[in-house]
Amino acid sequence: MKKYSRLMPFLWICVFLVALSSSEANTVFKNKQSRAFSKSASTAPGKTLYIDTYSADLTITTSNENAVTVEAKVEVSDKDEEIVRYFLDETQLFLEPYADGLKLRVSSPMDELRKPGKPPKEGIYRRFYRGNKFVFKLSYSARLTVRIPARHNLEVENAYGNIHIGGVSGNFHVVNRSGKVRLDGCGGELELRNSYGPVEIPVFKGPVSINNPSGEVEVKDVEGDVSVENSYAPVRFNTIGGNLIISSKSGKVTGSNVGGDCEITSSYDEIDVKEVKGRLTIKGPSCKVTAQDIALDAHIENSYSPVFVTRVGGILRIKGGSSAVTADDIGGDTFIRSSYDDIVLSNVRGSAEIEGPSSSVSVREVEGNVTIASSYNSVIVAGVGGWLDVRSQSAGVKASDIKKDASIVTSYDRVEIFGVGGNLRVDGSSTSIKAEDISGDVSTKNSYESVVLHRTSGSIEVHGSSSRIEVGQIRNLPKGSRIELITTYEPVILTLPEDADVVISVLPGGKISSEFPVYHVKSQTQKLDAERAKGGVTVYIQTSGSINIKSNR
Amino acid sequence: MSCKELERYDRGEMDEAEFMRHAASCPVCRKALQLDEEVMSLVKSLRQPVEASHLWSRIEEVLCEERAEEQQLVQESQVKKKQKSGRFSFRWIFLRFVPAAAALLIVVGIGVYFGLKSSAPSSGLLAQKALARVEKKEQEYMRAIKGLEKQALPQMADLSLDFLFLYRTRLETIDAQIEQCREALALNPANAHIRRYLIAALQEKKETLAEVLGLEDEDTKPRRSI
Amino acid sequence: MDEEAIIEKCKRGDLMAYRMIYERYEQPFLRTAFRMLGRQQEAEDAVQDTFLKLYRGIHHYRSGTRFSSYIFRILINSCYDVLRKRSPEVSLDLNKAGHYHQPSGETRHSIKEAIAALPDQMRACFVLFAIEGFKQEEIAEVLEIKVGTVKATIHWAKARLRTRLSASRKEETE
Repeated sequence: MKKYSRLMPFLWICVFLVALSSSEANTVFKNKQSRAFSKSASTAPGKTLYIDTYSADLTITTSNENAVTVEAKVEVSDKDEEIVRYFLDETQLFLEPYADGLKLRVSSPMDELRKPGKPPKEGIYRRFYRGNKFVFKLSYSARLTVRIPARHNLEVENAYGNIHIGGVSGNFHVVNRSGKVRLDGCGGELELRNSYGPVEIPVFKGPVSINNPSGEVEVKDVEGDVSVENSYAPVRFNTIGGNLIISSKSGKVTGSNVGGDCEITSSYDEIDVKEVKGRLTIKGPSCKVTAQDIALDAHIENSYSPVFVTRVGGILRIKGGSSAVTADDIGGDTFIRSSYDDIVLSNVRGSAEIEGPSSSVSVREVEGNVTIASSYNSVIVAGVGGWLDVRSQSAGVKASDIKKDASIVTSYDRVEIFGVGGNLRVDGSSTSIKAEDISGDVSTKNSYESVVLHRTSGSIEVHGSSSRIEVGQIRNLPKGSRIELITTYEPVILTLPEDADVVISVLPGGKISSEFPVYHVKSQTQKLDAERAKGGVTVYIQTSGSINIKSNR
Repeated sequence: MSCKELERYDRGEMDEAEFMRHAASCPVCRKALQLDEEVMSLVKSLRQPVEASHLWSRIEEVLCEERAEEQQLVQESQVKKKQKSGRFSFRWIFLRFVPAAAALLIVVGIGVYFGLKSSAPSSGLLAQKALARVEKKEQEYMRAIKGLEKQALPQMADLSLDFLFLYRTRLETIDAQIEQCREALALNPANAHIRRYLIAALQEKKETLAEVLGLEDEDTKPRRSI
Repeated sequence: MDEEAIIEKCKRGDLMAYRMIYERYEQPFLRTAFRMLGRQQEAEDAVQDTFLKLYRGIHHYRSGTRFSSYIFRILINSCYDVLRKRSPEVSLDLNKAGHYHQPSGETRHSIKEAIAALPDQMRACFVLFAIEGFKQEEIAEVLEIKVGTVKATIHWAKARLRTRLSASRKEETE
């Protein structure tokens, strides 16, 4: 058995080689015959040719004459020679006036056989009956070459054949099935329905509409709008002069250079679009999406796959579910929503709004405002021309170089802020806070972790619970500003400028050490107010831990 | 200041009762005891609840994934067991006939390709022997598909709804094409074009089923262009 | 339902039984992991990892032994795994006192930071003992060390915390 199984491939190859040579020879056809037809009819440019065929390969090209010329070859094979002869005798090629032009059709006994129900038991058809059983072994194929004026309309209906049209300009309405359709160097308006076969449109001067389920589509150099609908097969496009709409189902869509707007829908595959001069809209559940060089707005929806966007001239909107999002160089506002994966955004000339539950968020160089809502993963922001608003939970937040106000809410991690041009507000339960170089007022609220503020320039309000507080290297203490440092159990260390005009009240619990005069109060309501400070700075410190107030000499 | 008894206590060589008795007359150790009490009181204040309301759902998801993986492994091992048993098991057939069938498919494929497709085809109809071989190839595809269906269809039930819908509609579409080609071939059996499209549909069905099973199959590399 | 019955259900893959265990141990786990690791996210990951390991290895658990020791052993080992992956420079000192500018000569640490600064096994011993109320025999089972080692370790830990607290009190009076 082993020896035999090893020999088998070689045996089959030998058998095949014999068959291969014999398959090329007509002699193995039992009763295969063919018949050639030739027909011609005059017409005029701009008229319509209607073609109604079945199991035919069609080639349509142009001629200089005002005529439609058809050459056809019909092949038939069957065991019974008489049937073959009779079939061919009954086959006719019609080219006759119809509507606004001519109609081309091949008429044969096949037409009767294709009608629903059993064929009649008359004439040739009785040969196909064994008793009441219809037994049919005849085979048929046709090949038509048609020449028409260069400017002409076409209405084609065919199945199980290939269609090739070249050099014709006009209105095209083509319906085919299980075959390849190609239009080469044509123009006008094309409406094409095909299935299970590829569609190729290499050059077309005009709008194109293609419906090709389970068939791949390739469209290039089309001067008008293009609409493609297909499934389970790829779509490729390049250089579309007008708008492009692609609706694919589980098909890979790739292409570049669209003169107008571009709208693409697909699923479970890849979408890759480059150079769109208008707006881009992509809906691709479970699609990896790549979009580059979009002149106007871009709107992308996907899930479970990454999104990469580079260079968008207008607004960018991305809605992803569990999608990693990377976007760079956006001319307008940016709105990103995703989850459970990284969001990386850079170089935005508008504002940015990001919603990323369980996503890590990284934002760099945004000219406008930045709003971030996320959780459980880090938030890093650097370079914001407007204000910054971060609402997170159980996540570390690091921000630097914020030109206006900054507001941070998070928990159970750390907040680090370096450089805020406006006010800073931080609310962090069990969050350590470190902030430096704050031009405006600072207000923080946290618990169980430390607060360290350096180089502030406005009022300072720190409310902590079991939080160690340290404030120092104060740049500026404007007249009338206040410093309020409240915590429990933990020490407070405040370093004031040597010449600070301050009125300090403390509600102590532990040891106090101060280089400035300090008023002891028994409750917060007794703290000294601004009036008492007479234009100076009021300082209030409350803790059951130690208090240390120093000067920075 | 230190005390040797304190050092012993810190090394765990003295129990608390003994240390306390010593501390009653030792200011150093008494101070140490006071500090210890303070430490323990501070530490007890750390017994705060930790908020993590979402955590169970994460854990549950992970455990469900683990359970699903286990079930898949069990199924795969059952499939392998079945394949190992019996003279006419899938494994027996696989080892003996599939290499030859693969070779046949390749050569018949080449033969069908050259027999059917050329720049100036001589005929749109298949010769008798070529037709017989193509029909045989179709039957081989059907047998392979039947085998794959038996494994793949139960596995499809375990897919997520989205994937289940995707594969089901895809297979339905391919089945519709196979059906249409067969209908056309019933009235035109030797038409090379229709035969070509039927084989392409069978090929696609085999690929799709193999995809469901996640099998690597040399024979199922995409060949969409006709 | 008693713990043995819950464990039997766990062995049969009943996720509700795992849920019951989670509800029973959620807070002790989270507190312990947080004190071991210093970060909420990592603490949650360690708890998640514990339940996954419990699911995979539930059949190794022998009834008659303490289930709490078994499950806490898994948790502590998960925490050790996280700590091992950290680079040496990363410290648990959440305030990073040395990182920020401090007035020279003063070092103040809260008790939390003092615990965080303890070596790993010492920290595990101390947290289980002082925060979760484990007995020394239970800690010995969890960490798979001798009871005598647990006793000595807890004493050393207390001594270190006492020293820190004493130092901070001393600085206050100066």
